Amino acid sequence: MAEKHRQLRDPESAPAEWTDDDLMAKAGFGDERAFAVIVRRHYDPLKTLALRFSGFEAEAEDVVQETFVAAWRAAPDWKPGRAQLSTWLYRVAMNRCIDRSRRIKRWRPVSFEDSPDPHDRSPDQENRLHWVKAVEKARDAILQLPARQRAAILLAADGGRSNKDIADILGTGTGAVEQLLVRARRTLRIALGAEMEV
Amino acid sequence: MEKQSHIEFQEALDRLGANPETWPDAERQWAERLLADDLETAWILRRAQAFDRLICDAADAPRAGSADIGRIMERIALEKNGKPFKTFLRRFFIISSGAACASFAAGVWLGVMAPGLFSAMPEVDYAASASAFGLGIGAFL
Repeated sequence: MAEKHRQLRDPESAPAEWTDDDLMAKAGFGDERAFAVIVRRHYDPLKTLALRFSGFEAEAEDVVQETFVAAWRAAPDWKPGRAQLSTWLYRVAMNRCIDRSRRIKRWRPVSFEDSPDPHDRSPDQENRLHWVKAVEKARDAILQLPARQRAAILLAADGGRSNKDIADILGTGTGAVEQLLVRARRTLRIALGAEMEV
Repeated sequence: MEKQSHIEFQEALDRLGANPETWPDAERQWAERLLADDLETAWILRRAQAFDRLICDAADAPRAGSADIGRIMERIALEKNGKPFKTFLRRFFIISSGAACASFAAGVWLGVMAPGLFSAMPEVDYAASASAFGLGIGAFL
C-alpha cells in the first residue's frame, strides 16, 4: 500500500495495474495526483469524441472539462465495480454533447489541420488529397446527423466497442443502437456518394 | 435487380460493422457462407470496410497536449479549494435546520403538555425557575 502511495505522487509513473477504481477511491479523498492519472488516461478519446461530435474545439474542451469535474465530484461516492469509469465518462460526455447540440443549432466544423500542399501533384499525393477531401466531407456529413445517430456512429467508428458497450454509454438497448447505426450509415453512404467507390 | 442476400448482408454490415469476425456466431457463419459462394458479397464487404475506414479517419482528431490536461487540473484544484467552504455551508444548514425542527417539535410538545403540568404545580415551576436564574446569575457574577 505504501508503494502505491509513493507511485501516486508521480502520475507519470503510475503503474498500469492501478485500476480506475483504485484511482477514484484516492480521488474521493481529495488526491489530485490520483485524479490526474485518470485525466491522462481518458482525456484523448473523450476529447476526440467531443470534438467530432460538436465540430468545434472550444465546445469540445468545455464538454471534456465538465465531464472530468463531474467525475471529481462523483469520486467520494464512487462504488468500485458497479460501472466502468470509461463507460461512465463517455456517458456523461455524450449527454453533455447532446444537450448542447439541442441548445446550439449550428455547429462550426473544425478545419482540417493536416491538409496537404495543393501544388504537389505526385500520384501518391493525388490519392492522399482525394482521401483528405473524402475525410473532410465525411466529417461534415457526420455533423449533419441527428444527435443520437452521430453519437452512435462516432462511438462505433474505431471498431473497439461492441454495440452492447455503445448501448451502455447511451443508456439504451442494443437493438436501438443497431437501428441508430443502420440509419447513420445509410445517411452517410448517400451523403458521401462517389467518395465511397472502391 | 439486387439480390435479397446482398440487401440482407448490407443491412448486417450497417448494424454490426464491417468486420464479420466480431459478429455474433450465427451471423458470422452466415456471412462466411455468403462470402465463399458469391464474389459480389466480397465486393460489398470491401466497400463497407472502406466506408468504415473513412468514418474512422473522420472521427479521429489530433492528440491532446499537456496544456489541455493542465487546464483541467487547474479547474479541479479550484473545485478542491472551494470544497471546505461548501462543506461548511452544507453542515451549517443541516445543523441549523435540524435545530429549528427540534425547537419546533419541543414548542409543539410544550404547547400540548406543559399547560397541564404548569397549572398543576405553578409555585414549584416558578420557584425552580427563580432559583435556577439566581444560581445562574450568581455563578456568572
